[in-house]
Amino acid sequence: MGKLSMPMNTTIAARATLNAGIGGGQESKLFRWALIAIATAFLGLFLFAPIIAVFAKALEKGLSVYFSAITEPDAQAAIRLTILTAAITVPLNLCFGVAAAWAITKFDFFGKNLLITLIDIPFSVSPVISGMIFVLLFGAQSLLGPFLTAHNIKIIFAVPGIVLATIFVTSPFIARELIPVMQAQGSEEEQAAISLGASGWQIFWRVTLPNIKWGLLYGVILCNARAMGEFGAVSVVSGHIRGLTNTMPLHVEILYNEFQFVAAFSVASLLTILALVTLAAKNFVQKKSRQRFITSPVEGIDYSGVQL
Amino acid sequence: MSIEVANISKTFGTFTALKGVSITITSGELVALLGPSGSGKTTLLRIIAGLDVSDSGIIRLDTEDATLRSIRERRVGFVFQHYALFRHMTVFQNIAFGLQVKSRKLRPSKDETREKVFKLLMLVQLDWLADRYPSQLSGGQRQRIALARALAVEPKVLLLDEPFGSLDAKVRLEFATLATQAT
Ligand SMILES: Nc1ncnc2c1ncn2[C@@H]1O[C@H](COP(=O)(O)OP(=O)(O)OP(=O)(O)O)[C@@H](O)[C@H]1O
Ligand SMILES: [Mg+2]
Repeated sequence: MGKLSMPMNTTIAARATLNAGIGGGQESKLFRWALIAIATAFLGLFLFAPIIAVFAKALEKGLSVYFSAITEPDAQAAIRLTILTAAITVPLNLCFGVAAAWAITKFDFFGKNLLITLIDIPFSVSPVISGMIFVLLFGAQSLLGPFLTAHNIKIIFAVPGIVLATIFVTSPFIARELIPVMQAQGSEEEQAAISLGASGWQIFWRVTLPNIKWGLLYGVILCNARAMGEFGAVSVVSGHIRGLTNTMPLHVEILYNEFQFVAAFSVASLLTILALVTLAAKNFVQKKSRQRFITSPVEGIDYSGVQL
Repeated sequence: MSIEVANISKTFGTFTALKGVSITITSGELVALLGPSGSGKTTLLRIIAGLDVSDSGIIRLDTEDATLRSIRERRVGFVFQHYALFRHMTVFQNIAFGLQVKSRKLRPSKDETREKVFKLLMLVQLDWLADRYPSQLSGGQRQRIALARALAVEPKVLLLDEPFGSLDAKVRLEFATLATQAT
């Protein structure tokens, strides 16, 4: 009898401490529901309601108005410029991010800590100021200004400025994502590859890249979302020339300021869809990266908890 | 290949890990370095392999100064203390790696690679594990795969860091014979 009742007693004791830990009995239940209610209300108010509002407003006058708003030439130009900007920005930042993360995690060199700090600057500076930096560098009043006008090179109030500002603002995303991943992995596998006779290039493609691919993809997704959605920095350098230097976010702002609400929300809905797609892709990649080492389970043995 | 370690010293910051170490190992000899944890065994092996650089002293491989040779030219096989198997590759791919990264002229064909990998797997008695990933192996199995991987490129010297770390007494004996047979 004594032996049998033992496990039960321990279970009850364990449960009691657990409840005590988060407030005890009935109260904890109430507390939990209150927390869930607050979180849900917050999400509903600040996330779901706006999303629904965007689409409701965009489709207010019917589908044909919606489609003409997003196919109209200025809107098309804005969409093209946004895609062009992202298409240049993401590959460049991919190279920069991988190079920076590689250097920081695999080598020791003078000025390493400075580099880590510098990578974060675009995150800690307001985007508007990031844009101003480029105006100061390349604008007509800048040191380079006379040279640029003399050679008829346009950077500010032109596409190159928009691309430069976007690259600057989104440069930390991929490096930030990769550094912890690569730090956790260390460089043992790379050293093993060296001792087996692999060249630097082979090591990168065959050992390092496969190990970081999901983290890399995650960084690319975030970088792309921001590159397409960036407003502040781009707004400063763009000059808002319709059909020429307007990206989608800027186009939305102009339409809105002109009280063309339906058109504004139609274009905004495209950005919203981009955000939702980004979220889905981000979730997918996160799941993938978590299960990457458990690839071929063998009968009868559960490897789901195994990590090297 | 003979190895001569002459007066090697190595410091990490202010910490002296190796101080004036000298050993001579003749070709065909099997030598074990013994010492308490943190005494610098791994550090010395890494310097011999060329993965680390000593602060002073000289390493001679076949009486030739090793600093003149790149890691690839040294032909030194290394089995890491923590095995350092490639996580994203199967056991087969791990062992084949050293063959596949050879320059085109020296690279064996697919069939030759396969044959060689299975020969090595037989040698370490793990041919039934070819399609597993490292995370699905026991510690001792990982170690034997790491040995097979190092042997695949036919090194002239084999450096084993803590070769018996995760092996029980019986397997240790087998492993010791294996290592001597192989080199
Ligand atoms: N990269 C490093 N930076 C600073 N100190 C180091 C570094 N590598 C090794 N050491 C130090 O050098 C000493 C020797 O290390 P080593 O790894 O060679 O020891 P070991 O003899 O292989 O020990 P074990 O038997 O535990 O593997 C240790 O005290 C270690 O803390
Ligand atoms: Mg050691």
